[in-house]
This record gives sequence, structure tokens and C-alpha cells, in this order.
Amino acid sequence: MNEYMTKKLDSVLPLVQKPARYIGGELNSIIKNADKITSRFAFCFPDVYEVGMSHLGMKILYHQLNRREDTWVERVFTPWDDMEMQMKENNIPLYGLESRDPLKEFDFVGFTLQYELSYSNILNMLKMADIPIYSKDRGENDPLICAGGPCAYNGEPIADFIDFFLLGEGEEIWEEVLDAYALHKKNGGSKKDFLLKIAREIQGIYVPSFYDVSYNNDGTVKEISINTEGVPEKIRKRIIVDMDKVYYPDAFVVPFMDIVHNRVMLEIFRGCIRGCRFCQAGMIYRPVREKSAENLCLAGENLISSTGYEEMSLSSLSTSDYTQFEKLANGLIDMAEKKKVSLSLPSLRIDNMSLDILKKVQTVRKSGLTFAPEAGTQRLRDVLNKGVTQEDILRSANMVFCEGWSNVKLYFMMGLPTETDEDIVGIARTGYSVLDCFKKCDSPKKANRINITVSVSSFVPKPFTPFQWEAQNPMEELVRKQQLLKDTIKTRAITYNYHMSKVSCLEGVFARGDRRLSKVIELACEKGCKFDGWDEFFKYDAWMEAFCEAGLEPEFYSRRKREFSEVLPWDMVDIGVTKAFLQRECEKAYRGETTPNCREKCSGCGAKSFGGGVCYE
Amino acid sequence: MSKYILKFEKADSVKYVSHLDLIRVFDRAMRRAQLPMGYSQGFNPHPLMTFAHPLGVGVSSIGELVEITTAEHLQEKEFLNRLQEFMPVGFKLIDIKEIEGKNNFARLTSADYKINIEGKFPESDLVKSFNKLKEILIDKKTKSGIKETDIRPFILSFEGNMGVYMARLKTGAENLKPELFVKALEKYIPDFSPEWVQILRVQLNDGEGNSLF
Repeated sequence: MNEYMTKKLDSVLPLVQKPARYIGGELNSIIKNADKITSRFAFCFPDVYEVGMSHLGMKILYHQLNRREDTWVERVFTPWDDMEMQMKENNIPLYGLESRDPLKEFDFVGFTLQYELSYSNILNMLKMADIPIYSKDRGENDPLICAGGPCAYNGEPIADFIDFFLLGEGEEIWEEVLDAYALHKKNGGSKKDFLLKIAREIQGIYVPSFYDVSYNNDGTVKEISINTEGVPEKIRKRIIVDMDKVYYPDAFVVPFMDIVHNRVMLEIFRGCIRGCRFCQAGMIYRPVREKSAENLCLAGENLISSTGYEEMSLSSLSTSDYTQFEKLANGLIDMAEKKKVSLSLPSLRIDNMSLDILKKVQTVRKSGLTFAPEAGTQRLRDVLNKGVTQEDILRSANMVFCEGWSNVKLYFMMGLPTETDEDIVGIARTGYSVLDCFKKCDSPKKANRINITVSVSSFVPKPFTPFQWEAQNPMEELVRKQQLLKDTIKTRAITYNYHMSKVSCLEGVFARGDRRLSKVIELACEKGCKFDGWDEFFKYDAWMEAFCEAGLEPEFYSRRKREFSEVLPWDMVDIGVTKAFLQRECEKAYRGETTPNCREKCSGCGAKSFGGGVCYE
Repeated sequence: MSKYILKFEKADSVKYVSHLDLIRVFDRAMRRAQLPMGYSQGFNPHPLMTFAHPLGVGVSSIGELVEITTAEHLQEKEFLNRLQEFMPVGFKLIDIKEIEGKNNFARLTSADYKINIEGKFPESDLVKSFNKLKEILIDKKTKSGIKETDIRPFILSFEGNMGVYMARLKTGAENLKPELFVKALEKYIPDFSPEWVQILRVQLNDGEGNSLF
């Protein structure tokens, strides 16, 4: 471990909140001899330790890539602002938690892009590491800066800062990049040589500097063109075809302090068969690919043994759609019993089978049950292709009330395409009908009191969804709708929660932004913007000043409805699902027509071209 | 159910692991080691584990004590060795003793600290001038909020020189944190400004000043 840094840290750590965020050394963290390593990789999660350490993707890649003898992956999180201040005052650069070496000494500094509002943290972290933020300003001795994760599918707003993006699932592509890097280091050559090589030879690598973007007079993209020979016109995402053959860690790093998801997590499948038209995850992770229940039970047992965790949970986009759910749940319940750990299940569609399972799982009783109708009327749910009816919700609610549950959470969105005030009032009506259902329930087990939570978030149109062409509601409109709904809910049995609409507007800008926004992020960062996803840090006015100084209007990105013919900033990316399918789905949405899920009938989205998963079941 | 007191070391970076997080560290290590942890009865069972006295975040120790209840009887040495294998780096188990009865830590009266300081020192003898003080007033957290308190009676002994000192401070029901003791030094000794301080808890003592276990 870096002795110099350790001594420096000892002088500041007693002065900051939660110093355990910054020490490393947790159980199952991996220490290597840096002298014998070819590729040193700083895996950065641009948020605070508790959030980043809860992320499953990082756990997978950390343990997988550290199996390589030539590679050492270390973890880096954004220091909280008290620590940032101490580091600045004491000239402590941002460091990897394992070695405590400054980021500048690494070969790769990679960021995972889980949400758009972390972009300011990325720049802030590069600054703390004393690495020039713009790719063009970095030299041969600076690390390669790369990024992956869901927001990388449209990474254009940070294109000027990132040397290369990795599109899709990371397990295979990272092995290929590290192999290429080892060869590159042996043979010599410039950073550009390396970027060119991986852009040409590895599917899923997007090097933004090899692509030029031109604009029309109205500010829309005119053309995206290649400026370097041999790089792909369209960059196709990577997926793991066989989920039973892919690596899954047999150990997780176990933090000393409490984190957001502090438990063993089992990933049961990737993708989602549903095709909700607002949902980016439902499109970009296609096709659905499952793991077998046997493998998962085994993985769960191993992870409990290696971590000592007292809790285990499942991870997927829609657990109820797992075809071997009953077998898996019963297997895990038995194992949990034996190992004296608890199993927590995510929200499930309620039927007789799942209810039986839920009854066996004690933790559910405490947290209550969750439904996501997403919209307040059947008409709008059909627009969204959310295959849930009012009857489904009430039937499920009745079943759980009869069993004595008393906490129900309902999730909705507002600001959706074609939405009217009728739909907003419908949200309240849905809440009231669940309340009625509780009142009518005459089971002896029924609880004395009911607590219904209605949570409403603002819809943000995302790239690679059927709604990628839609306009986002103006902020004033969202505020009006929030108030309308608030006025319609008059009972104390229903708690109404909503999100800050200013945050959603900024998220909307970056979700569908282009390269010109890099300047805005740079300016906002200079104005002290950071941790934008945290209410206590979010500086809306500073962001607006940054837009103004960069000569860009946020409304151009968020509030404008696009023509189907418009060139979109992310058109060079191929997620398998075709633009034609997304357009078809958008048109069907306006006609209020639903689309069957992948297991009912194939709708020809294009994901079949990957040659696996649900498309071939 | 059987009860054991373990003496352990908390060294290097794990000195920043908070007291509350320590319970999880031991509980998880017990589970990894497949040792039969004892749990409380009831709806929310918790591991039966008591620490003699909390250690401030950032203070290391070679004399921490924890009482662990196990569901089955274990051989002392086997228990210690097995658990050690599964503890995170920085936690060293030093000794173990099977015990009986309740409130085994009630006899705790004082603790010995080794304090290493780098920085600017006065020319006069720091220890001598400090020990001469009749009254040492410091803002101290009490049951009724932060109050200026005379901590002189809490300081049982203080010796050393050249930046390496030993202090015996009251610990337990009557308590003085070593961090506060260093603050008092800084306040009362002219021309003294510590830049780098390392505190090590060496031993927990009973009323006679003997090691508690």
C-alpha cells in the first residue's frame, strides 16, 4: 500500500464523516503487487461509496477481471464534499481504494454511467485526480478514460471527455480490451494506435473522436460521419448469449459500513419481455436471457459462505417473469433457513403461487407490497404498453389484504405522451379504489389500518425507446399536475410522494443530448455542480447559467418533439432493437394499441439477431 | 449457550471502522467460519455480542474486549483460531477466555493509551507542566449537552517525552476520550501544536489498575 498516501490520509480521515468510505481493505477486496501488473484499471462509480458499492455490475467486473494475472482492478468512488475539501487542502489526489495510488498512475480510468445526473461528478473526479478533462488535452502518459453502462448508449454529452465507450454487457468486451492492451504495451505505439485498433477490431467499442458530427441551422444533427478509416459506421452492443456460462463472482467485497444494498444479490436474468414503451432498460438489454435455478441456488449458497452476509436478494427487471421462479424461490428459502440468513424478494405480480412464497418470506411483511401501474387510466396504460389492468391491481390487493398486509406502494409517472388531466385524476382514483378494496375486505386476518403510498415520478423520454422522439412536459406543467393530484387526494390513508421536477428536466436534457453539451457540463462543474442526484447539492440555477454561457437551450433537448426522420445523436449505435420497431411501437402507442410480450408472440424487434435468449425458447 | 471474552487488536486502517459496524464484522466472520453464533429470541433476533467499551473512530487498539455468546460450547483455542481465519485484515485475535455470569465488563474503570505526536513542541517539559495543572477545563459532552468540565480528575497518569506519551484515563461510567485529552494538551500547553496524532489503546483496566481480562 502507498505509504505516503496512507500517512497523508491519517491526517484527514479523523476529520471527515464516515471515514470507512475511504480506507479500502474490506473483506474480499483484492490486493496485488503493482510491479507485476500490465493493466491497472481504476473502476470508478461516480457517486458516493454507499451507492457505488451497491452496484452489481461493478462487483461482477471487479472480481472477474481481477482473475487475470496481468490486471489489477481497483475501486474508486466520489468523495463526499467534506472529504473533497480535505483532499484539496492537503494535496491528496483521488486514489484507488486498494493500492491508494493516485489515479494518474493507472492505465485505465473507467466510469460506469448509471444515471445522467452523475456527469458532473465524472468531471469533478478527473479534476481531483489531476487528469485533464478533455480527451484532446491528455497526453501519452495520462490514463485512458473510458465509460460503459446504460447511459453509454448515448454518451454524447460526455463524448469530449471520454477516450472510448464500451457498449453493452462488459464481461467479454473487457477481456478483449485487456488482451489488446497487453499486446499494445508489448509492441509499443501511441494511445491513438491503441484506440484505432480496438475500435476496428472489437465489437462494441465506440471512440467518439473517430466520428464527426455536423449540425443543421435549427440545431438538429445533420450528419454523423467517420473521420478515420476502418472504424464501424454502426457500433453494435455486446451481450452475453448464454447466461449459464458467464462468470458470476463467488465472493463480493463486504463493506465495513452500511451501504444501500448490503446483501448478497443474485442476478436471475437480463432483459425484460414486457416492452413498456417508456422503459429504456426493457429495450437495451434485449433479448431476455435467464440463468438456471440450479446455478443460482449454488451461487447463493457460495456467496453466503464467502461473505457472511445475513441477507440475500434477487436482481432482475421483472422477477415474476422468471420462468423457474417457484423452483428458485423454494430452493433459496430452504437454503436461507439452513444458513440462518433472510431472503428478501423484490416486487412480484401477485397470484396464488407468489402469495404462497411471499408468506414464507418474512421480510416482505415489513416492507409491504409494491405495484407499478405507471399510469392512472387504462387508456394511458395501453399507450405505455403496461400490461396491467385495474382488475389485476385490485385482485392482487384483495389477496394481500386478506393475508393481513397493510402497506401498499403504488408507482406512477406523470408527463407521459397523450396524457390529460383525466389521467392525473385517475392516479388518485386508483389509490382510492385500492383503499375501497381494503375497506370491503372481510377476512379475519385483515389489518386494522392501511397505508397506501402513491409515488409519482416525472416521465423522462429516453433514447432507444418508442418514446425517444417525444417532448418532455415543461416544468410548470409538471408542477401544475403535481398540485392537481395533491388536491385530488384528500384522505390520510394515502401518502402522496413526488419528485423534484427540476431534476427530471436536467435528466431529460442529458438523456437525449448531443456532444455540444460537454461544454455545459464543464461550465457547470466549474460553478461547483456535483452530486446532482442529491437534493442537498443540486444547483439548478448554476446549471441554467452554464447553458446560457455555452449558448445552448435546455428546452431544445427536452421539450422538442422530434420527427421520425430526424438524425438522432445516438444513431451510430446499434442495440439490436431496430429504429423501425421503435417507430412502429410509437405509432401503436398513439393508436392505443398494445403489443404482446416476448413470450406471447415475437414482435420482430430485431434482438433475435443476437442468436439467443427468449427469441429461441 | 456458552460465553467467551476475546481480546483483539484493531490496527491500521480498520481503526476507522466505527463501533456500530464492529458488530457486523464479528457476526459475518462467525457466519463465514460456520461458528454457532448465539442470537437473541424474538421477532428481530440480534447476535449476542457485547463490547467492553467503544473505541473512537481513528483510534487503534491492542487491547479490545468483546464478549460473544455461542449457541454451542466450543474449545477456547479452536474457537479463536477458527474465527481468526475469517476476520478481515487488521483484526487480530489475541486471547480468549470462557466466562460465566452477566455484566462482565462492569469492573472497567480506566484505559491506558499510547499517544504519538508529531508537530511543534514547547521547549519546557510538556508532561511536567501539564501534570502541575490543578484544573483542566474542556468542553465535554455530558448527559445534559456540551458543558465546560474539569477533566483533571479523569486523568489518572500521564508520562513520556519526545512525542511519545502514555496516559491512563478514566473509562466506563466516568469517561474521558483520549481525543479530548489531546485537545486539552493543545489548549493548556503554550507553543505546542500537534500536526499528526496517533492514539493506541493498550489496555482496559479494573479499579486496581490491573488488566480487566
